[in-house]
Amino acid sequence: MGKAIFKQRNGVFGVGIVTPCGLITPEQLGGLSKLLPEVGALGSKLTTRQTLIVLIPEEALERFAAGVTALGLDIGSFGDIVRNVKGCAGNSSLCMRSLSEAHGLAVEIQKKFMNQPTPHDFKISVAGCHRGCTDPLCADFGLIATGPDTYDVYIGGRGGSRRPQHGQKMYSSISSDAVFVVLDHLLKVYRSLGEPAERICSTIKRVGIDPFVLPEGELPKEEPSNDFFDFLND
Amino acid sequence: MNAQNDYDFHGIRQNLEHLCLNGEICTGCEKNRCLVFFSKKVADYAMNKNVFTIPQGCSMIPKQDLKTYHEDELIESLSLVLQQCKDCRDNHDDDCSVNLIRTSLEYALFGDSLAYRGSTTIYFIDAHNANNRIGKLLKDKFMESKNK
Repeated sequence: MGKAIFKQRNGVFGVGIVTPCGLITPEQLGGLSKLLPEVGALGSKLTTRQTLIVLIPEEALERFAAGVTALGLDIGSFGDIVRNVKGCAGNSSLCMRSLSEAHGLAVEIQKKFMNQPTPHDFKISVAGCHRGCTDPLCADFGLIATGPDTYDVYIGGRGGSRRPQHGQKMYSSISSDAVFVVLDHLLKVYRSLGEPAERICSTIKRVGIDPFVLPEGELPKEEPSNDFFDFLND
Repeated sequence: MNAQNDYDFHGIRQNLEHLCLNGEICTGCEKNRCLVFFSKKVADYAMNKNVFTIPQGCSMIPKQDLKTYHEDELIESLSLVLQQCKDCRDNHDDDCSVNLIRTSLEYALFGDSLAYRGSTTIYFIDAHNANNRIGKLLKDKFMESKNK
């Protein structure tokens, strides 16, 4: 695992800043607007995975990293690890289409799992509805909300590739608590069965999906609640 | 200026009031066993909660409501609801609040629901195929309201 700092063709360095699934506060944005000119940044670029790449001269890297940390942001990591999580703007305050607190869940997953070692890079996407703005079917582990706290789980998607493929549905409408249990199990099995540099979709192809599925009874189950049902019968 | 994604649930809700039979056929409000009551609840819920989708809403539509409603008022209400459709095409969701009201009014009007293919244009073809006369009336009312 290395830091997400990449030398560019023109000699400057692209530094990847990780956010809580794309959310940047006004204070952080204001801080960056001061920090970037101070360190002589040539520019910045938003990435498809909700990070911000800033172009920095080599001699300013250390100063920039310190400034980023002071703003409560992080320099990302790179390599065969669980990457930062892509999360949509789905929650009770933002996107009106969202069925759940998808963004909050994505942030919690990122906090718990990001940077864990894996045989190959492992990407997670969370979407608050079937529209899937974060492309959950193209991630190694994708979640799509189906209700206030229920998610369909897809595994083995591969977006950026010469052989792109969609993930396959592993669980239907499980709770956010169950998502953590499922992901923890999945990563343990992947670390155990995956060959070095083998993407999880290839591991699944080689050994089948069964080892990745939690045995019946080990999946936390909760009584589903339906707010509208109560409203209708009120 | 309205946001691009705004739905006029308030207008739909007002219009639905005209559909209520007020005991004309039913004896007392049948509440969640009535298609109009259900539609009003969907509109209220969508407005109160600021949501577009109601998970499992489709499964709660009271399809067993066989009351005869006023056809012309149903057509007017349905055309108004259809105007709120955002032509989602592939992203159409049966549990969309607008779809739930549309489906409920369809049961009241046609006695059945039509598979919605995410487009009002396609819908009018399907409605025409289901019932020539009502399909035409519905399309005419839709166009009339749209051009107002």
